[in-house]
Amino acid sequence: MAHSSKAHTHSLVTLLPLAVATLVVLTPFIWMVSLAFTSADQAFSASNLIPESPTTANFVTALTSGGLGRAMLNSSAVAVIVVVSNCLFASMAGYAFAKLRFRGDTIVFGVLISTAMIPVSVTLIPLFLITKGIPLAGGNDLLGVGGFGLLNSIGGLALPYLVTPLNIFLSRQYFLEFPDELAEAARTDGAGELRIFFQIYLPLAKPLIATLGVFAFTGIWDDFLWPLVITNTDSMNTVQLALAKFLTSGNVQYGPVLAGAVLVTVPVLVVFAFNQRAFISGLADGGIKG
Amino acid sequence: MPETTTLTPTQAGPPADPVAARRPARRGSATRRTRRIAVLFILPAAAYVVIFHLFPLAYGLYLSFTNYDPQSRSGPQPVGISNYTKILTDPVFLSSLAVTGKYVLYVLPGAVGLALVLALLVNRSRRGIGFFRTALYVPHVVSLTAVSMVWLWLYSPQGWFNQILGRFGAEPKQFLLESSSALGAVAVMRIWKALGGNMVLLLAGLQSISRELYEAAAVDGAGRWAQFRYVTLPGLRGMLTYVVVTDIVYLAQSFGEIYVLTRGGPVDSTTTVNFLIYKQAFQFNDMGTASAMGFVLFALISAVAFVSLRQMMRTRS
Amino acid sequence: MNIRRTLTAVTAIGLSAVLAACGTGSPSGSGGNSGPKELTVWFPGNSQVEIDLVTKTLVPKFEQQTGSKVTVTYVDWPNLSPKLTTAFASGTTPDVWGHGTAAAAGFAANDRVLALDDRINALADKDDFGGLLDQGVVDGKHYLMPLSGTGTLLVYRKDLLQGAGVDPATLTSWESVYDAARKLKTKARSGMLIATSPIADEQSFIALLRSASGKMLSDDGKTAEFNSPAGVQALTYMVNLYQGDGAVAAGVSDDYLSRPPAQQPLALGTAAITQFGPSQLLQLVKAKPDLADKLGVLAPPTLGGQPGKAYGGMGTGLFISKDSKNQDLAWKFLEYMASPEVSNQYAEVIGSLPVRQSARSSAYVTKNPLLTTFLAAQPAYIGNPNVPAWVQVRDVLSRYLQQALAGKVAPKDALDKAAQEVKPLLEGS
Repeated sequence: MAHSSKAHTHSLVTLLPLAVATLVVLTPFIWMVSLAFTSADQAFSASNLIPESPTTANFVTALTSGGLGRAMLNSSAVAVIVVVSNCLFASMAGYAFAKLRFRGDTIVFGVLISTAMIPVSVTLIPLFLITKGIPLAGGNDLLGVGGFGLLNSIGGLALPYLVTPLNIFLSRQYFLEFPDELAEAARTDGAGELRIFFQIYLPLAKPLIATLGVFAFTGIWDDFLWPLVITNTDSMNTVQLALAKFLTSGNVQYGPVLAGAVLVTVPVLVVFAFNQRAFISGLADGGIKG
Repeated sequence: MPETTTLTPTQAGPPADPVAARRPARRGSATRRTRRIAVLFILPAAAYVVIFHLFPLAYGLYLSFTNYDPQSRSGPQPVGISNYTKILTDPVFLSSLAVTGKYVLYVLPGAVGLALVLALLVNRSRRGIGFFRTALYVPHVVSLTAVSMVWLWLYSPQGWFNQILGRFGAEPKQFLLESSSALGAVAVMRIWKALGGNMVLLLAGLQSISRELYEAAAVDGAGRWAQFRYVTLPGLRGMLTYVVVTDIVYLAQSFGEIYVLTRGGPVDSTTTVNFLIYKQAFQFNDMGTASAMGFVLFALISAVAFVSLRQMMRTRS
Repeated sequence: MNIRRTLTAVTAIGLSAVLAACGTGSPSGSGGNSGPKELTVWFPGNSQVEIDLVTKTLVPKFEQQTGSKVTVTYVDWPNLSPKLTTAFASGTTPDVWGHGTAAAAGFAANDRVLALDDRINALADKDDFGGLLDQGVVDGKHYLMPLSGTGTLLVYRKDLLQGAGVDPATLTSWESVYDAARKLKTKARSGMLIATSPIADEQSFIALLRSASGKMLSDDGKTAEFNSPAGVQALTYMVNLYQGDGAVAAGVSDDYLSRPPAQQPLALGTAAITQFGPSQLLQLVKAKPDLADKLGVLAPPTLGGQPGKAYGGMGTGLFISKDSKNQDLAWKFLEYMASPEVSNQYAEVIGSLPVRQSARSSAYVTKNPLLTTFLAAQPAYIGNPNVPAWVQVRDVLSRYLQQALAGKVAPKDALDKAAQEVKPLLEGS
């Protein structure tokens, strides 16, 4: 994208406000990082940002006694499943809504979206029962009876997020902007609809994939209530559960929690930083302008 | 025939961008074969959503007409509409609705307005802009429990907010312990946390506006403000609608920040509907009442989301 | 086509999942596929030293002794409810779980936990638990085995009292403590802070109420009696600490106990007297060793000349699930955890009061002089009533206590309204 010389002076004028705004927004986070380097007995006792005697002990505690490493692996595994599944199924559905119209699509679509409007507390128990009743998993028979289904498993952790209605919506928005001529041309060449999607549209939809990926990843990383109820062993801990280990009621271990929180934020930020351009253009309506 | 349905924004509920709405309907190719293919494409997602989202929803609706107590061995017993009549006359529930409404109104303008300002600031392609975008995105992804500790401190009598107040000679204030200020204090943290996510979405909206429109406006002698008013805002409408509606949907279900900062207090001044539902469901084991509350909230959210969609779509034309 | 086949498979699996979910209406019982020698146990809490002790030392020893396999999960207090609720709904409750006494009546009324009377009566040394076992009694039956003991007492800063010319030996009544607090109060310091955050406010209230010879509920548990003159006296006392000209404390509803040691009012010197439980006090002293010699503990003060009571007794207890397939092994586990050696080791690690009287002469107790008063106060400890709707009743009461403490409603009105509102809850139970 070319910039005029006018845009250059413009950028200098706005750089200062941008720097100030970033600093203000980041302040509580900087505080968090500072506290993560502060020893337990000094936490919250001083109001200066730079710790008097910085220590990495909190990070050591967070990594060794909280099982944070294992938890990050678990959450990553769940995130990968959720990302792949959403990129496949949500984008297929979104594509169909955008390109292949059929009777009643508005209603189906409205119903799909409305599921985002009910608090999790209401649907938690039925969802739990379904997860426990997945056939042929965790000792269950064909009817889903007898065992524990997908409770306390990576699959169970991913189950409620495999296809998110909001992702279907985003995919639809994205594919709406694709010229139909691509498909027309392929159809004239005798290509099937599946091939048109998987070989023409999907490869062009990398920004969309980045968008769905970032959303799924951040969502999974932040999840608490679902992992809490369906996991029973430390080996299945997710990041938020592992962090909560330091939140002993009445005796919060501030240092390790904050150090842990800093550590678990890094992967998400890396995912975002490397994808932000594609992520944003995936959200921007016309992914393939010009 | 399928030709009769059009996926226009107002009908669909979710917003479409203006370009899509103006697109001429392309129907000629919608043969029976493509319809079958469409069903096939949607089927996995739809089947999944039916099983894992709609079935729990329907089950929850059923529970709202029962006295279900998970601790009890007798299972759900039908009680008619008594859960609904009970909660609609319950001052605690009604106050939680008011708190939720107030909270949405507190957070929404800040979370969208400030995010728009940030989006305008980072909407450029100079070197290192990715750093600013990522930095501003940090609050959105950092663990809520962890940041809440910092915010609890910021709001404490020794915290920064009181240090600033103290400079002006004011008495230290217990922001989270006074019913007059607690909800506002929670809202400030939520705005902070929501900024990054909204900024990214609005930035995407800004980037979708064609550069030629600005150039044309400049040729017509439009100033910076006029460009913003007549090019940026209309071009942003689709994404703005999306951000506002999804924010309403999520804010109306606020729970996490309440749970970590105030636990609904003081004197219920921060008890949102979703916080009350959680308490009702998991502390009192009263799943019937909790579900009924959930569906009243559901109805209100759908109504507000629908009305704001209509409103925002109408102002466009 | 490959994809099509995959889609069909996915849909088929999904549909059968729905059918399956419909078919799991009745609980299948815990440990459905576990052998006869397996036990699952949920402990409440999150303390790393406790987790290490239980999972690395105590449980392996038990497994060795009994040749069993015990799976332990620690669930922090606030998360225990959603976990147990979903477990009840799906029949996946553990064999043994720990909880406070407040939940006992609900579990018992719904036939979820095993009555332990025969087993407890068969214990040779059951008198060693003092009155602790009685706190787990619902409708005349024992359901809980005590895991830890606790108590909430007033703790003061010796130096601050001395500076204000207050002799701690004279602080034997709530009235004298209040007078002292008035002397101790400065612009930057509260004379005395008692716990007034939601839930803790109810514990402070019941201690004062019972000290004034009042009662929370009638003996049959069906009527509220907390709005008696004794109740009004108790609540008025609490309100006067924070409101009006005679206020001796700032920061009503502040949950100071959950703040880190460095932020504790006693450590900061922003209060001269505050309430503490033994484990929180020991943690404070551990984090701030210089405070150890500066702190003193008051025995439960009297109110209106009546003998003083304090909130305390059983902190946590263990339940056995009615659905457990290994109830005998589960009982062995409870017995093991409450055995003299194990329970004392446990108390020392978490800093609680030992559940056994015989542990008073243990090294743990004798090397921590701050515990002496907590132990001596044991006969004065009282708990909450064990009625099924207690958690809800407490929530209602706490809501009105908060309104009164904020100075928005007069104590008498608040208690009357609360009594009115809990009526259907108590009658329905």
